[in-house]
Amino acid sequence: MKISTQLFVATLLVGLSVTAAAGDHNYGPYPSYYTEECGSCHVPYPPQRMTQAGWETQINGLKNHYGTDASVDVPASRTILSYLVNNAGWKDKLAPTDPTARMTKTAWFVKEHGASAPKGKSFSECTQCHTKAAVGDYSEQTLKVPAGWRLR
Amino acid sequence: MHPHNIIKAVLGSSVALLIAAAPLLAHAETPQNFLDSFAQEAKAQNPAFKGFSAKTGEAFYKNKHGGDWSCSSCHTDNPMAEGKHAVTGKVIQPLSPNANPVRFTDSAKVNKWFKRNCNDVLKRECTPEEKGNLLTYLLSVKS
Repeated sequence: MKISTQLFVATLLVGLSVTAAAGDHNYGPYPSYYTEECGSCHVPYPPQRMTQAGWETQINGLKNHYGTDASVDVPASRTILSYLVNNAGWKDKLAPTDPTARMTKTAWFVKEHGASAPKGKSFSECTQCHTKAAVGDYSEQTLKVPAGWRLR
Repeated sequence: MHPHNIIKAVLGSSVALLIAAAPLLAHAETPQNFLDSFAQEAKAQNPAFKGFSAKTGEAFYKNKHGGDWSCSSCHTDNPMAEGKHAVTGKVIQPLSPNANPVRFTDSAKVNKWFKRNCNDVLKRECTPEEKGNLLTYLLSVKS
């Protein structure tokens, strides 16, 4: 009884995360395996913010992931990639522009954030400004940029 | 209550308990389990193996091994403290099981992170002896 309820809730959550509207800058909740595998060294990034091609490049290159070994085992990487692909964006501005498919080099990212991070901060750790990024909340209400920071 | 019914009730509730506990049991490993299996592997590789040393483990933890990073680059010089990822700055929970009881309780995680992080720091896999020395050091740190 308890287990079937848990299963039901889990199914419901997965369903919600797949159908979540991207317009509200809210991309969570992420499946727990995604947070676990892709949210240890940085927050889990929203799948909606890059195209399928970008995510494929990312997952295929995990063995050398910006200077670190971020490899995951084959079953996990298949599950993760299918989650990413099922939720990937399709617009041109979400497409990768460099060989390693850095999200921070996509057209939309550069337009929203500029080309370089605020001094002493890193674009790869969103929570430094998007305070609730860990749960996929990128709304204006939870945004806290450093004083005096302007887009360049 | 008829004795048969009591037995049924007891059996029924223990089965339910077992099912509920199954996900927990799957990860019921302890740091000592890891030490034991590292020791077994170290002995298999080197019959002269005498046991692990916290001191050697500490030196290993703080050494850059000819590269850019040591374990302490992200986990800090004190494995009881919170760390910070060297590139992203994301907070890393303490590595020592003394400060963070979930460490070294799940072999899938232990294997995954040794594989990745040894590759990052040493550009190779760690040996069972290195892993055992390191864990012995982590367990020896009290504050």
